[in-house]
Amino acid sequence: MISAVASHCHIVTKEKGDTIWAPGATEDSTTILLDGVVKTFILSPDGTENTMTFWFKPGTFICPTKEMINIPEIWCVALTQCTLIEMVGTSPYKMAEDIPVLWKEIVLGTLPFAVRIMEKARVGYTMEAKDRYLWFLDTFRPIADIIPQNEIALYLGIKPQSLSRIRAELIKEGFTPPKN
Amino acid sequence: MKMDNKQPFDLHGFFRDFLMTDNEALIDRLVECSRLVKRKKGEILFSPGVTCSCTVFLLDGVIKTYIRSPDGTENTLSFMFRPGTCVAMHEDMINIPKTWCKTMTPCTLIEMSPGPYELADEFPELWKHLVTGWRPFYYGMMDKLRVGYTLTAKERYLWFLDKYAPIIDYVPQAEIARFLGIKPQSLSRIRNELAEEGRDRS
Repeated sequence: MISAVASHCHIVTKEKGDTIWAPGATEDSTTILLDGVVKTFILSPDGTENTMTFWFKPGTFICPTKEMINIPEIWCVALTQCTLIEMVGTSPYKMAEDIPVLWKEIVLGTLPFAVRIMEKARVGYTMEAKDRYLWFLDTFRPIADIIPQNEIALYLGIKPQSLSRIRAELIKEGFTPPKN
Repeated sequence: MKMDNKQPFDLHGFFRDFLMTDNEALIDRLVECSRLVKRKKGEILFSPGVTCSCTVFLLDGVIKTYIRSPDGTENTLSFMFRPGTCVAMHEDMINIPKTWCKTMTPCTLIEMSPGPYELADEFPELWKHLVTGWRPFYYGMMDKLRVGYTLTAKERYLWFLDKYAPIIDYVPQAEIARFLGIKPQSLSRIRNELAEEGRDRS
């Protein structure tokens, strides 16, 4: 199985801002993040990038089918220079028809994505702005210095001015927010 | 959406058709883990604090999944109403985001325990069914996000009328407004506009 999967994979480097996949995809996309930060987002008509989630842990497995990309019109871009394993010419969904053990890997690999999206919804519904920011820092601390503050504000549904105020309060409380 | 109550329900036939399988050992095991139940309106099907996955098959009625705000507001993630809809929630999907599920009308359901996540080690073909079963839930959740980010309030309501036409009469207007991220007064205004245009089907 490992040889079969590896034969369709290659390592690529993406530069900051490179698109990894976008609506209009004609194939499933399969990526394993080895290094760097990527984000998935939905584009508003005014060009706003509404982030669904940030990925940064080495080994993160991202494998949307083309329907998962095209129906909700989701984009994925590199926020930093990234090293990725890309699968070409096939996908785990196609390979799983011949290698059924891959179905389990697909379920276990995509479960964190679903949980992350739902968890973000919970944060939005149940937390005040300051708590949302603290949740963000807890969940995304390793990459908090890389993400622009206005992007964090947008992600958390907080006005940029409110986020600045929250950060100033935290500094007064002795907390060290990210440098961005 | 009403079930025929005159005939005993054929669980074997249901799973055979649902999974499109002739693996009788699997079907027998699923039937062993399942029971047909009737739930009243307002009954909780699962809530945060579970210690295993939760799986229900909706045969009749309307259910919703939601997250509770501290003030008790139920923020709906999705409404489900199509007969045969499978809701197979891994315990992480329930406990981490603190997801609830309840009936919005009297419902007839198949409740399964243990569920496919636990049974899949015994019957690995269930992993494939989990992938295909997840897709409607995933598409629904993602499409709702897209609608929120890309459509005006009126367009969101038209999207809701189109997608949820069969259950419009079961969902209170205040709940629709909250689901779509529209103020209730704005939704009333939109509905009046659409009524004048002859377009509000609710």
